[in-house]
Amino acid sequence: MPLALRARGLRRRLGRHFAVRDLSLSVPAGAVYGLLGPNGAGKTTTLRLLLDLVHPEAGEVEILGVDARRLPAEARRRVGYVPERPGMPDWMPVGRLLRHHAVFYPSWNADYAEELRLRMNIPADRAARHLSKGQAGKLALLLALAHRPGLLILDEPTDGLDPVARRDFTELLMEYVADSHATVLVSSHIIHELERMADWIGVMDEGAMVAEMPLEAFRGHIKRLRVVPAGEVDAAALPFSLLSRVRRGREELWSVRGWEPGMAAALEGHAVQVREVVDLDLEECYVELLRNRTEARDAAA
Amino acid sequence: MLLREFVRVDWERRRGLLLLTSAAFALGPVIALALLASGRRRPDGMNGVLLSQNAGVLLMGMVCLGAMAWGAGTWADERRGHWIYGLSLPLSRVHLFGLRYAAGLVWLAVPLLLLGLSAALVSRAAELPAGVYAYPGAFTRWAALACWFLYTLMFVLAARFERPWTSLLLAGFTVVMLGTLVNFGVFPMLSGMVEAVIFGSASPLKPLVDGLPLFTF
Repeated sequence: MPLALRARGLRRRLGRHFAVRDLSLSVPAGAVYGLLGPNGAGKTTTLRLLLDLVHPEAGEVEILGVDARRLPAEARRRVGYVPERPGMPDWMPVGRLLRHHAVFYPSWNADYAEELRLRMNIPADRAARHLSKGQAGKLALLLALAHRPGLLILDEPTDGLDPVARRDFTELLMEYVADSHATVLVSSHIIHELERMADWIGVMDEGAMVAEMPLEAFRGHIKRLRVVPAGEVDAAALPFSLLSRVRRGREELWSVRGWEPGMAAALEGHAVQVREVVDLDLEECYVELLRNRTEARDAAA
Repeated sequence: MLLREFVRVDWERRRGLLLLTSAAFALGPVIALALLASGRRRPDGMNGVLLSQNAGVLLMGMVCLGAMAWGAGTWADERRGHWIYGLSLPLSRVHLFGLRYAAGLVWLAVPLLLLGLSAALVSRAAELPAGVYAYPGAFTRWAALACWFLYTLMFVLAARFERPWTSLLLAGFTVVMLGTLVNFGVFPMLSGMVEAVIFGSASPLKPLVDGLPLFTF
C-alpha cells in the first residue's frame, strides 16, 4: 500500500511530560484519514511535528516521498495546511493576502484561487480580520487548496463553524479530493462529520497512537454484546478485549474490541451465551475505546 | 522575488513608523544646528556649543530609539499568529529569518540615508563658531553602525521574547546591578574583563561606545 505520509517514532516533550511519544502514523495515498483523540491527546502537536513547525526530539517523517525532517520546506510546498488557528497576516485585504501567499508556491493557480474565492463568497477588498468565522475558515481552506497540493493536513478545520458553513467547507474539501485524488489527514472532534468522509481512522490518547485502521475495520472491530453469563467469566481468557461490562439483571452489556464473526460460538465454551451483537457507530466505538483506557488509568492510579 | 515581497509587506504594514523615523532622522541635524544658533544668540551667555552638544546627544538617542523600534516590530505578525502562518510557509527557518532581517535592513537604510544627507547639507550650510567642528561623515558612519547593531539586537530579542522592550530593560537592569557589584570591587577580576570587553581597544562595541555628536569641539 503506497503511503502519502509516514511517520515513525515521533517524540516531543512539553515541559516534563510527553506531548507525543513514539508515535507512528501511516496515511495511505488517496485516503481521507481522520485523526481522533480527546482534548490534550497531542493531535495538534502531532500535525505540527509532521510539518516541522515544532521540531521533534526524535523520529522520522516522510511526506509524498520527501524526507520532511531533512527538507521541511520542500515537504511543506507539497502540502496544504489548515491550522487550528489560521494566524495569517489578517490586516491584509483578502485579495492582497492571496497574492502574498501565491509568492511562496510556484504551483499556485490564480484562476482556481479566484474561482474558489467567488464560490466561497469572500470579498476581495475586506481585511481578513473583518471576515466572519465561517468566511475565515473557508479562506484558510482556499489558501491550502490553491496550489493544488497532493496532501492536505487539516487541524480541526470546522471547529466553531455553524452547520451551514461546516457543510460548505466539507463539500469544497471533498470536491477537491474527488478532482485531484489528494490525500487528507484531518483531525476533528466532530466525529459524525469524520464518519461521513474518512476511510481511515487513527485514535490518539496521551500522546500515543492507540488504534489505526480502516474505518470499516475499526467499526467492525468494536462491538457491543448482550450476553448471559452462566457463571464467573475470566476476562483474560476471552478471545477479545473486554472494554466495559455493565450488569442488567441476568444479562450483561459488554463492549469488546477485537470482535470477529464466529466468535459467538466460541464463547459457548466460556459459558457465555450471546443474545445480540450490536453494531456501533464511530462515535460509540471511539467512546468505548477511550473509556476503557481512562478506567484502566484510573485503576492503575 | 521573495525579498521584494517581504520588503513590500514591511512597507504596507509599518510605513507609519518608517515615515516617522525618516522624518525624525532627516530633521535631527537641522534641529541640532538650530539649537546651536539659538544658544549663540542668547543674552545670558549660555554656551551655544554646550546646548548643541546636548542636542547632539539627543540626536544620537533618537537614532538608537528609531533603529530599536524598527527591529522590535519585525515579528509583530508572527507573534499575533502564534508563528503558525510564518513557519508553515515553504521556507526553511533560516530563509524566513534571513528574508525578514534583510527586508528590515532595506527600509532602515532609508532614514539613515536621509540622516546622512541632512547632516552633510547642514554642516556645509552652517557657520560654526570658532573651535566647533561638524563631523557629518563620522556621525553618519556611527549612526549606521548603531542602527545595524541595535536593529539586530531587537530583531533577535523580538523573535525570542514576546516583550522585547521588557527583556531589554531587564537585561539592562542586570548589567547595571552587575556593574554596581563590580564597582564595589566584589569581583575585581571581572571588573577588568568587563571593561576590556566593552571599552577595550579590541572591543567590537568600541565604535558604538565612541559615538560622535554631529557638532563638537
